Amino acid sequence: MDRSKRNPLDYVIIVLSPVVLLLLWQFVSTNGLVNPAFLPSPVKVITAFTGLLSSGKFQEHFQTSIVRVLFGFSIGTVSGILLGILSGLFKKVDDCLTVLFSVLRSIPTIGLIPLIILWVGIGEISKVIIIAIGSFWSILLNTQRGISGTDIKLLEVARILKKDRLTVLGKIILPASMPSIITGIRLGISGAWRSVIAAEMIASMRGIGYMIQYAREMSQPAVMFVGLFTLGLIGLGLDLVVKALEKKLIFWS
Amino acid sequence: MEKEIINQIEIRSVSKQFTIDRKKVDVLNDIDLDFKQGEFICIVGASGCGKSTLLRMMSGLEPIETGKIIIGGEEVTAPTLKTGMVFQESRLFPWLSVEKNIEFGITTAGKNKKSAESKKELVNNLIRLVGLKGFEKALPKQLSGGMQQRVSIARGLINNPEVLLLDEPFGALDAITKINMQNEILRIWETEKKTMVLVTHDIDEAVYLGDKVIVLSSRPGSVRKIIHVDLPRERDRNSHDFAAVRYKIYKEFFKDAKIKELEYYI
Repeated sequence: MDRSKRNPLDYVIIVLSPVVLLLLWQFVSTNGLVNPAFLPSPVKVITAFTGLLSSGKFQEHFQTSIVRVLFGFSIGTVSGILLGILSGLFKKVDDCLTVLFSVLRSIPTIGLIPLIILWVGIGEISKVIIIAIGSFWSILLNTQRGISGTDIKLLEVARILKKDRLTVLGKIILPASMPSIITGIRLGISGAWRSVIAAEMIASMRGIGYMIQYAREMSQPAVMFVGLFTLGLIGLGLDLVVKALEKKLIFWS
Repeated sequence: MEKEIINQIEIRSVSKQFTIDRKKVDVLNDIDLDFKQGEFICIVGASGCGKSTLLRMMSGLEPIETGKIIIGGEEVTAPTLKTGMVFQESRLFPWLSVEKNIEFGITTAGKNKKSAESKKELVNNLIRLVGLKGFEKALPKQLSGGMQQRVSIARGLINNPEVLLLDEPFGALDAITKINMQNEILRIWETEKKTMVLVTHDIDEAVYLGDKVIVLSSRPGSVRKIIHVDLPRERDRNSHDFAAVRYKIYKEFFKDAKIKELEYYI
């Protein structure tokens, strides 16, 4: 059976099932089947969302988190790709870094938050650094794997054709590593997204993570749900963006 | 005046050992061969006899530690633009179109850079030569195996090498495509007048294509026999003469194997 082909009925099911779930949720909430302090009704969540929108709070938190992620992720990506290329190309670099990196990357990013705060304070820089670290490792590792795994058969073609090293890197090694690098970026962006929320929950006065944390303190479960849905939707959105990027960049596969 | 016959390729006492699992394994043993300019040479041998290794040594990909190989008067120490190479797998860059793959082959020595137009013309000529007109923009994945190999041949020819080395170029193709490609490579050989050295395990292919068929013994490979194929082209695979040459090679092939047993299979 071909699962990739869907007929109209399948789309109805795909769209309808979450709607049914929402209605069910609304039903149990309004009929007092669950404590609204734990599970507010969908209507309440939407009301909280519109309230946050009209007060401008949501936009503020949202923007803060997104800007942090963009900065941190960019730094993590650029440094991960550069170091990945270096250690993928030169075995000596790889040998120098292998022990250090094996230990460092085993530290969950969240564990580093207190130390980063100690070093650079509680401001924006600490968040950006944490996000950068949160995306760095998977990008580094996948880039390195892609570079060092370049098909030797293609490299032989370059040798036969007397191509210089720069041509080999730009025209063969980098394109050949592209699928692997994109995988790293995909993992990296979800790492960045996880790290920003962790950092904001621990030490911040703004951002989606802070919003969720603060809502718990204020006993505003509806706001917590607004925050959680936002996380889910943005995560999904980022994944779709990277997928589109993948399709464009790896057009040959 | 008689035309001077030049030795395009001279292989002098070439041996090769590989170290596998710390043990030295003899791969090639004391190979001596001379190929003339413009000849079509086929090297046949059982798998593992070192025929591909010999070709890779000619190309400069594989270091030559014992003996030497001279191509066009110069000893081979590294790849040179004097030799082009076509591998069994087309080894095309999947992210480049047909024309870009061929154009990638262009390497100009020193400062004499080629203009975009002259590059384009060169590529177009080769696309025409290998019969891929209309497929310039196609990606390798959109091509059949035979067409991919045509691209690979075009790329191998683009720097106008004196010698084209072909490492089992049709080994992965189906029987009909293979026959077509054999005719194609003959046509290209006749138009381009290159020295071609083709390695194959297909005796039929060797007899169909070669001016000379070099039969290598099984490992360590040494020259068992050099057979001159004097049949006029285009050769008829079903003719008596063709069968006679083929039989001669078969006999050489299975000399050290138990030929009595093998006769049942032939």
